Amino acid sequence: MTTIGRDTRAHSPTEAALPGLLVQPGMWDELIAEDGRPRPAAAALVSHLSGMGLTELRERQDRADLDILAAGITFTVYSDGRGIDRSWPFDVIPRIIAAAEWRRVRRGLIQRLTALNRFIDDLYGEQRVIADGVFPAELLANSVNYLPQCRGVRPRFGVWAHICGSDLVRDADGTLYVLEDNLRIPSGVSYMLENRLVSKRVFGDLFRRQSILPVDDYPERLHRILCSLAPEGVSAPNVVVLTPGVYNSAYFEHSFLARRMGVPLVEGRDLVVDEHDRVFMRTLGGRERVDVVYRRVDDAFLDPEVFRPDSVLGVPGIMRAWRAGNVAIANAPGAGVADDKAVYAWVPDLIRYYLHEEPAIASVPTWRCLYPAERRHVIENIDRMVVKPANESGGYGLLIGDRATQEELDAAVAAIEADPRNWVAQPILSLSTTPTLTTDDIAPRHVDLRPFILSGDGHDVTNGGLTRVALRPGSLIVNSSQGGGSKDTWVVERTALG
Amino acid sequence: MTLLARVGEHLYWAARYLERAEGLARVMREHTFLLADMPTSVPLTWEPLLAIGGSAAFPGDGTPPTEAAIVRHLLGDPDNPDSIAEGATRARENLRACREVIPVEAWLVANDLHLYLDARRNEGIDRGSRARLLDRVIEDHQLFLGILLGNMSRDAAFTLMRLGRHIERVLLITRVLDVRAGQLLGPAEPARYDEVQWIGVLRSLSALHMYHRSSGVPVAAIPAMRFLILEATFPRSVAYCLTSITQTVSELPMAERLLAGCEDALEILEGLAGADDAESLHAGAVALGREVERIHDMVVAACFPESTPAG
Repeated sequence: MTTIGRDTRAHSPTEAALPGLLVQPGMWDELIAEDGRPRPAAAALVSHLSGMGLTELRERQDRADLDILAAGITFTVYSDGRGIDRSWPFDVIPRIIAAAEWRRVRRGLIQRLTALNRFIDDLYGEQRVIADGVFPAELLANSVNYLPQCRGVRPRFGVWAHICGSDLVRDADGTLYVLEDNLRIPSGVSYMLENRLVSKRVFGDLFRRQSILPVDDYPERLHRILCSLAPEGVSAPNVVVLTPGVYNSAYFEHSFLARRMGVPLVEGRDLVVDEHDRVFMRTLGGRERVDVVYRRVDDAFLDPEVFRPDSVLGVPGIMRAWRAGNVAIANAPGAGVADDKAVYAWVPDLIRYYLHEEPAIASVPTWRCLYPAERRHVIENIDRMVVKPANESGGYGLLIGDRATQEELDAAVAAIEADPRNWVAQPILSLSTTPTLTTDDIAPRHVDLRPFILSGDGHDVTNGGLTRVALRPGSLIVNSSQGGGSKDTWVVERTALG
Repeated sequence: MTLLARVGEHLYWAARYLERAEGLARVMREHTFLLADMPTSVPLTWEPLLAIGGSAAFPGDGTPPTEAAIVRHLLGDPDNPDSIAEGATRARENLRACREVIPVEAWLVANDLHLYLDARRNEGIDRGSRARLLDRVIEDHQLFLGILLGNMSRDAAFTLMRLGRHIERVLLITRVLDVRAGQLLGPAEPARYDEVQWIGVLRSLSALHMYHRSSGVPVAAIPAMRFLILEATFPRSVAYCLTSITQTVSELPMAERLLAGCEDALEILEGLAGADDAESLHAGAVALGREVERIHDMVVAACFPESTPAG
């Protein structure tokens, strides 16, 4: 254990010093280098924190918690079939990324999304990638996220995944990996924006002293991308956000984005598709045409005429309207075929195939249980693997080999053998840490990062993204539904001015 | 600006619930003060407030309910849908479904009021802590309204909230008049301190000061009732609210039908212009309340055709 360059004993005991800015051996910390000194981009923050002391920092944390409670920044946890509205967990100490690194990441993410969108467009079109032997046909045949109903549809610009949230993690050697891509209805961006508002109130003084890249214009960028998707000839498109409703875990975000874009937040029952395959919303004054739907409803519930007939969240006929080109849907139905965790293993190949480039950002080596050799490798090394179901999200069903009991390992092996295609495995990465306020002091906690990538007539990547932090000591689970918290993420253009 | 019918209905109900909470808070606050002023010989009970404060059955066992039981019922009882805390919660739930429409600061106030009251479900039962709690309800709603007035475009969303507020306000005024006039009219009883009680009625509708400024006569039953029903310049009178209601419905879809539906209420009001006996005014207030409930039904049918019951 190394501490940073301040000997706390030298201070008077009445002044609460700032303990706990530590690096655990063998770990990469986002703020503190191995020698215990702050990384250059974090120097201003660390010096500020040290000057502030633990008591003051805790007061600011309390203030932030109060702000969040008062603002009703919530998410919903499901427990015993009941939804409970919880305040968004936020840690005041920001996570910092140097702008120079972020420029590289940004390039890598745009490259990745370009390839993924080409891939989806290809799968629902000519399927060249299969004919050329790059992607196995049986994988597509078994994919639960592939929707045959989308075959032949050509969304504008050939883009299917307009909004992507990719999860990045950093291993002990400092390498940043894409852990997964969320191409269906990724959430979290509103928390990224709210976190920034809260931290500007808490650390307003620091924002003046260095150049932290803004995130606040995301809704405008999103709105612009959504407008660009409108059917041809529509000059002032009506955009709406489609939510499953107030009981959805991400309702806060749906409402947030609708408000920040100034567009209606609709539920399925607010929309109606007429016999000419046109979509309307029921307004106070009657029906009004809808041109672009940013939907936050899963594919399966989107249209009871086509998918689950029991869905009351969806809009009967919206797939007809989409296929007829009368409405744009973002993300396009079926885009999820490319965020299947089994597909993940092919992404580097897809980048080479479609773009003739080497991946600019790494994927985690991934073993596919579909293949006997790889399956054997996974089973033999299961205590050193992270085993994931190929089609789940939210961290459910995840097994971390070196933390599992023998029983859990056995159960995982049985599950893999019962349904190999549904499982992939990766080596255990030692997720990087960042200093986090705990009940006692400041301690390193594991983090990931979810930037958001917009694709339409162009590309856009958020400056940083949503940093999620595993608040429990040693935990690697960052999901807010399972004890995770969040942090503001600062992409810092240059080091401290003073 | 596009407004979904469903969202419009949430806005309308949110405005009604908040207005209701403030109105009941004012009535309760004044009643508490009134009681403090009265000699113990005056049989002043809390039961009239049950009639003013809504329709929900008071869970009594036949014995006369205590002040504490009634106050708890009206203030924080989670089983009473018309209690102030429940009203704040319902307002907040409705607003939560239209956060993309109302100013953020207004949402913050409503959310904060809900959190504040929800954490104090059992407070305010004793007279000592009651005023502070009720003050908070009144002040927060006034703050909420101020934010709307100062920040919100005068669009359909604003109109529906204004409509809900004034419909709710008429219903409160007419209920207060019905209940209190029922008690205070009839044969004079000098020991009843009628004057003090009518002062209380005016004050509970935040009308005392404006009454004095405009009427120029001491407080008494007839001029007080006339003021609360007919004073068109006073925003907490039936006449003012009805004017506002007709203005707002004229901005809504199916305005003509809705305006026609307001005719009966306006006629009753006109008929009361010369009334100077307590019975006519009392009966007129009751009839006006009923008419405004009918206007509510028409608004729901015209504006929220897909409405699911319960609001």
